[in-house]
Amino acid sequence: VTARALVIAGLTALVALTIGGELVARRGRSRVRPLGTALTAALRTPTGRIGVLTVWLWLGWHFLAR
Amino acid sequence: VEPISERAAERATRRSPREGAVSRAGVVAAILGYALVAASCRPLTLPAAAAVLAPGVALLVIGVLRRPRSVELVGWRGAAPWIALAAVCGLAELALFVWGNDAAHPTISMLADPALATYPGRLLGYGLWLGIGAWLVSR
Repeated sequence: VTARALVIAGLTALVALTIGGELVARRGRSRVRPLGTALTAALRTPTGRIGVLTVWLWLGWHFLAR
Repeated sequence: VEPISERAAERATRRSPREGAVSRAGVVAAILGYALVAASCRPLTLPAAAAVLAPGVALLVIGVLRRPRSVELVGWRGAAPWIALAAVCGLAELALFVWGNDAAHPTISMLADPALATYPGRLLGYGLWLGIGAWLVSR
């Protein structure tokens, strides 16, 4: 197994965890809230809005412009 | 003249479902139009930097100035898995960037580069990014 394959497997596992977490959160009885609900709650305060939107802007810069 | 109650004022400013759908369609059309143009800018160029910074900074300012929606409170327990996942993703990207950043140890952005080197890939990238940004600002 190459290091590249291990890295890709690890990153794929993170994506799978995100999708799995969302599915579990949407079941209703879970304590975990869906990602959209958690993000909306984080955007409730000025600090949260600045933080979340700055991360979003950085992602655009990092993937599309740099 | 009777004072307008808060509920009546809210009713007066609330959009009808038809108005909401028209507004949403307008936002989607604007995002698609912008993505069609912005995707023609190759990464690592000044036009690409401007194509990201112009809508990015504008949405950041609008989002910060906008009054947030009244929303369901989410405790630390409800958000902990998402915070942990975001931290792990950030640390993984940082670690791969510092100790790897080569073909054997690619960062997430290195893996995305082949797709973002093509026009359809960038079109999808800009569309998704701006769509997420518009959704965040609307919260």
